[in-house]
Amino acid sequence: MTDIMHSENQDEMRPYGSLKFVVFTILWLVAVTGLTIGMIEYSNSPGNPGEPPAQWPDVKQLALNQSKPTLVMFIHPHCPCTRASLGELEIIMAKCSGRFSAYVVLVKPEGTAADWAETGLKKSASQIPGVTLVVDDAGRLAQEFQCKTSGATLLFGQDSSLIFQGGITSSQGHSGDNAGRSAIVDILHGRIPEKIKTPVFGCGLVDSMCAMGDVN
Amino acid sequence: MTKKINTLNEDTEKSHSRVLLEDFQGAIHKRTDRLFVYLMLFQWLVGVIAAIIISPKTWEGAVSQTHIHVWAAIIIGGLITSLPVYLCLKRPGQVLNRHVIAVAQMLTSALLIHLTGGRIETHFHVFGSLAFLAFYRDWKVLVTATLVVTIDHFVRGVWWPQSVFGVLTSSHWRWVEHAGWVVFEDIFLFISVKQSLKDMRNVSDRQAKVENLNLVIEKRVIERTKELHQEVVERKRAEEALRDREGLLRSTLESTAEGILVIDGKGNVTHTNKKFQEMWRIPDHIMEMKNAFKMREYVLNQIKNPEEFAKKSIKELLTCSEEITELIEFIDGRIFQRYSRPLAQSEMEGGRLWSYRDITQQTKSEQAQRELQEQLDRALRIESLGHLAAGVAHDLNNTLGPVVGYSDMLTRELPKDSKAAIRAGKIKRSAEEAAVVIQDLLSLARRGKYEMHPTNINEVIESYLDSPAYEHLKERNPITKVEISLYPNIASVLGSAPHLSKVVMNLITNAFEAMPKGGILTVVTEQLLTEKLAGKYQNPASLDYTILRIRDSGHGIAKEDIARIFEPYFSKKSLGHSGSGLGLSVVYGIVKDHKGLCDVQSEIGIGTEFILYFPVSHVVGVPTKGEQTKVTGGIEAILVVEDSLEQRELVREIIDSLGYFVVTAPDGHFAVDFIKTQPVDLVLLDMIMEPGFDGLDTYREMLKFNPTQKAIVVSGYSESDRVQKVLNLGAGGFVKKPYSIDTLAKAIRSALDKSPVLAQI
Repeated sequence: MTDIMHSENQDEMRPYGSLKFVVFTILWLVAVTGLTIGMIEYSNSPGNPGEPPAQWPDVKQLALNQSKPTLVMFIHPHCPCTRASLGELEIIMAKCSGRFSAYVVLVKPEGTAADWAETGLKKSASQIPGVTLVVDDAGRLAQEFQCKTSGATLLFGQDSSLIFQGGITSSQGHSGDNAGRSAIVDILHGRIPEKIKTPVFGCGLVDSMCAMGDVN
Repeated sequence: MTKKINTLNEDTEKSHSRVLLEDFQGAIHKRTDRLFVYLMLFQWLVGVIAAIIISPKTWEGAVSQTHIHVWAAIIIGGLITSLPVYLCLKRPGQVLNRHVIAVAQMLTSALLIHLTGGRIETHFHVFGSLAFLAFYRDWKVLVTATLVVTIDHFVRGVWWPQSVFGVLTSSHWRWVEHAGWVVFEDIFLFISVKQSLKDMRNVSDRQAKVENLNLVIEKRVIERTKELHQEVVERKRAEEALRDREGLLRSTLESTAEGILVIDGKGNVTHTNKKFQEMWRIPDHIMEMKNAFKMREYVLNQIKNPEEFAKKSIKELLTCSEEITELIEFIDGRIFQRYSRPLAQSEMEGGRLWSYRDITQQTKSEQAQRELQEQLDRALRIESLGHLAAGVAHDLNNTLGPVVGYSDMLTRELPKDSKAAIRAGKIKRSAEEAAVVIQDLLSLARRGKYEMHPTNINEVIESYLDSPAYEHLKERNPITKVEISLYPNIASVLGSAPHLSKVVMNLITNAFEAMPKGGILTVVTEQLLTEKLAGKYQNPASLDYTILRIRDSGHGIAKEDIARIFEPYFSKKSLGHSGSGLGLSVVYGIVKDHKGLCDVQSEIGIGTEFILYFPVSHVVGVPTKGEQTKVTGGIEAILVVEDSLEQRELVREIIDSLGYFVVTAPDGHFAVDFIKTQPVDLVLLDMIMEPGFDGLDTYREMLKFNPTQKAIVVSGYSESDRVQKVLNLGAGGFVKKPYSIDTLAKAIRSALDKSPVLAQI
């Protein structure tokens, strides 16, 4: 009891408390910082960018616009990180309205239920003006376009050439300014983009296809 | 001094204000700590929920697993929350707490921003947190938080710009923009904190001032309370002392022998004591009225002069400012001494105090003492007179002795009708009258020797009425009518006829003198059983009395004089006009010697009646009238012991003329020596001789030689104790000077004829 009081009195005398608490605080700070860095690092780890074809492939579900660029975004209907990508797409659509055609392809892995793609993301995507939703049953289109990560966005020119590939978020599920969005907007406005290829942050579109990895 | 106190007070106030401010801040810090405990727990929970909602799972095709954000929200969020919550709960209010909270709050912002996908809205958490941190009203906390944000953006902006700005490359100064917004808010918050601190300081100053004032007031209140307590204690003591004094005063008032009455100016009774009520015999219900007028009304009928008393009482109460002492006489004989004085107390202005003392007994005692003193004075006067009378009697009797003796001898020797015989007779009578005066003196001195015999008072009166003295008196008062009414067959009294005659003479003489312009003198004798004496002069014994009344119709005696008329020389008559001034005193003395009573009734203008009561004698006595014995002589040898030459010669001639053989001796020693050589049959022994060897001494010496020596004692005094002792030793008789030849002859013969008695020396 006397010790406790003595200790408390000492605490009263020191504005920051005893050394013990200061040490605890430093340790705490280190631990929190470490974990936070780990988490951020994870969030900034891009997914597998795949190897999209340099020319518009011959696919039935999608049609290349001959008069303006055509954007195709592949998303996993359940990927939480992709919501940020849709947000960025919406910004692009807003900034570059009428300058391009856009497809959002909801990749439905094989063997999944018919309504597997009926998610909030689909609904969000459907609400973006000018965007055409396409459900990619069994991931065939993803396979045609060689996209492996949700959020992967491809921009083809009128001449069916691939002019941009990559993600349009700065990290997983993180909205805000990012290189992908800027590049697309620049391209659509006829400016020269800083980058034509950016990392994609999102879930794997198909089993063992959505492995994370650096696109570079 | 006041300035110093003020300075001290100001210092105390400042110090106290600092303490109060610290207390306020401490309270705020603790309160805000508690607020952040809830806030951080809430944030943690929100973070977890947000992670679960926003990114519950991470997918690979159709395969999903828990999103790392969920774990991050739980683990990192929990870790961030844990330390500040612990610190705030463990030791709220500490400085470290709020700085840890500032760090944690900024980290939480980062976490939430991350969990929400970097939503712009979530960034407001940073600014909200700063606002919350401003609750501490400690700008340093804001600095800590700002530093965390700034360092985060600086470090990541330089080394990992994509993680914070979403680009792989950015300006190295972009962190300044982010930090600037935070600082921008900080500026407002700093101002707010500063203002808040200023307000708090003002409040502390005011509170310190108020509390300091309260302390001063409380101190004053305590001091005043102590003073009041002390005052109350002292007042209680004073009240107790006053009660004690009042009790003592009341007790004293009740213990006094005087009745006390205090009345205020309105006639209300304010104080009385029990004695007052007892003395005035006032019933309780009247006392309870406390009304002076009711009390007075009740007591008035007890007083002899109620009207005067009532007037005086009102006058004293209303107007009199003096002290008054007077007596109040009651109908039943009580006498109160009343003392009154106005009250000195201003609140009872007009009031008055009366004290009453029952002096009835005291008055009676004083009266009795006065009477006793008067009796003593009278006795002393009489005693003094007795001494005077004794001396005068001795000298005058010795002087008158030869006058009486020789005139008696001349009367006997000269032819009976010769002028010389008549003149000698007048000489003898004059000398005998002079002897009577002397006898009066002796009677007054109670030194006379009475020869008591059954005596008829009627005969004494008749004898006096036949006497020349009465005839002379009658001649001087011719117009006075004398009425005599003597009770026939009146009972005799045991008395001395000459003395009773003296009584009759003195009273009749007084009666005549009381009627200088004539009137009626009444002499009455009665024979009655005694009743209560009318004049209450003295209480009679329960005896039968022969009563003598001598009444005149003169001017009467004033009531105040009646009690003193029997005193010697008390007379209203002019000196020299009447007798010796001893008349009634002699009467009184003689009556007393006869065990009789004197009473007198008198009324001014009506007259005076003397009533004498003589106890009836049941002894059969010798007649007092007509007793005549023949002068007889003898041949025996008689020794005359007499220091006066004239007296010695006279006695020698008388005895010689009676035929006896006479020898004389000038003193006792000579006589004693003489009888040792020459026996005599009788010694005629003068009682008063040289000092130290008088008749008694002489006779004692003679008896030593001849125990049967006969003797007669002779003295100018009335019979005294020493004469009585001589008689007791065996002397045959006592002859008082001056004496006639017959008297002496009878005494000598009687003594010689007695049988010799062996004296008991």
